[in-house]
Amino acid sequence: MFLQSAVSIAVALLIVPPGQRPAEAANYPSAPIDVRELSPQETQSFLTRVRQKLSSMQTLRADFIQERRMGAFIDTLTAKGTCYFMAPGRIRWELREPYRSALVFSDGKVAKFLYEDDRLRKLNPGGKGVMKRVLQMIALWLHGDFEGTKEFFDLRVLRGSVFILRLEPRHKQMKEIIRAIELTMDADSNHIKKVTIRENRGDQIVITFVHEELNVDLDEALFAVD
Amino acid sequence: MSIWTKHCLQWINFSLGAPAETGLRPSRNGWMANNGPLPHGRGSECEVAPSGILGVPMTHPSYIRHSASTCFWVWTLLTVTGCATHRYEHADPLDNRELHATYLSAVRDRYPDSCRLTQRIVVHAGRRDFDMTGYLFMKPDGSLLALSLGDMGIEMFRFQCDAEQCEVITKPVSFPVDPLYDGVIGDIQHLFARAGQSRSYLVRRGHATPCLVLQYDDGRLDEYQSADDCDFPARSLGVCGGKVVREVTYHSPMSYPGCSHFLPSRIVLRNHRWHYTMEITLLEVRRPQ
Repeated sequence: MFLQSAVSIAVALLIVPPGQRPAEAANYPSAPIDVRELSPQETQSFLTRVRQKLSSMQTLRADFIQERRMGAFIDTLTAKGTCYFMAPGRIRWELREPYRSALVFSDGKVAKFLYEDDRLRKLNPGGKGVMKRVLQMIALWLHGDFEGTKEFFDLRVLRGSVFILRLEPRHKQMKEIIRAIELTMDADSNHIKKVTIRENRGDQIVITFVHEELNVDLDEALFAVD
Repeated sequence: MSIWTKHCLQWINFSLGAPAETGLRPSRNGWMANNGPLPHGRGSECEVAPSGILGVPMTHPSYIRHSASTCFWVWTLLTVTGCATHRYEHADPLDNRELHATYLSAVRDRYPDSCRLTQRIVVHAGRRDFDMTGYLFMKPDGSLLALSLGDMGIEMFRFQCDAEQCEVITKPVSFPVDPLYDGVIGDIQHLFARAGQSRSYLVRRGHATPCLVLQYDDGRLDEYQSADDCDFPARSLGVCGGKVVREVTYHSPMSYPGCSHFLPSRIVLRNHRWHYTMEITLLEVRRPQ
């Protein structure tokens, strides 16, 4: 149940040579009309540049607004919080609304905390093994490393006024849950502005990142798992 | 849930005379897992006819001889795990029409007929905790949709209930279906559904506050004990097959916008059939504009 999670990354600008075949806009709902899919060679070159650029990122702090848009209802379910990352592989996903909780991955361990009346309560979550693998993958993405992702996802890159990195699950179990994960990247700032998780039922989760700060001082205590 | 665990639970239920759960079915080669969903519907946890081990009726001599030798081990297990259900004790009826009407209205209209509840849900099962954000959509026709989201907003469970039946729309792939139909959906109906076709009456237990009993055609029974200073129940219990399958306490009543009376901001439910505890914190009540 945690395989489909994703967080923001920063990517490099790639100049796409003219004459590329435009992608079918209908296949990529996040994409503007004039997008072009990169060729496999361009995609590999693009990912290499991303990795080179992100390897210098030591910390990241970004607020997020997480919206679940339900196909069958007009309601949008909203949550808010902050994401913290410390290289090479520490993540803290802290929720503030509708309630406070924190999911922490550090030194190969996973911990989940709930805040109750300003007191921290540690849970013993189920599915730790799966959570670990997912959070390890996210940590690699944050360092621009998508090589390990190819085992689980087919990867395409679209370029227009924005970049869209589209990940489509390869394995049946994940395909039953999600259709695709799309990372929308601002072409000017090189930052991931939005992550869209498309579920099979027609619902989608959109995580929008704001107030990103790179290489800021982060307290080690944020990543404590005890 | 492993086949062994299902087997143990089935033995416990058989020995206590509770309705069989069809997660397993007997065969010549031993127990086989049922791959299909249980027949669903309100009160499904009470509609399955009781049967004994190996599919023979519980009054059959072979069953009685077999079960006698297992009783010792079953009760040892129950003592060790502390997870025994207990029989529901019927109380003396109380004749007070005005109070009956007041209590009935309080239980049936405890939540607005059209609203969205936002909740934090923590389930403790064994040594594991599962926390989720819960959304409960209630409609004036009595139907409801229950949705729970995990980390990063991923849908974990979705249940749809109308006046006739409930369905599991979404669940994690490897999650067994029996605890959902037999457990969680029954919990949701007990806590939130508007009481449908039921016979109701008041009872009194000793010197305690009178309790409202709702008895359904499918054999279920819910009992709600009102709090002294609040329209909302202080505690309640759900009964099936003469056994108390769930016990609930309601805490910290609060006023929520758009609601005519106080609602419990915290609910603790213990499901004795499936051995889990659910803590629900009510975060928001949203009424339609």
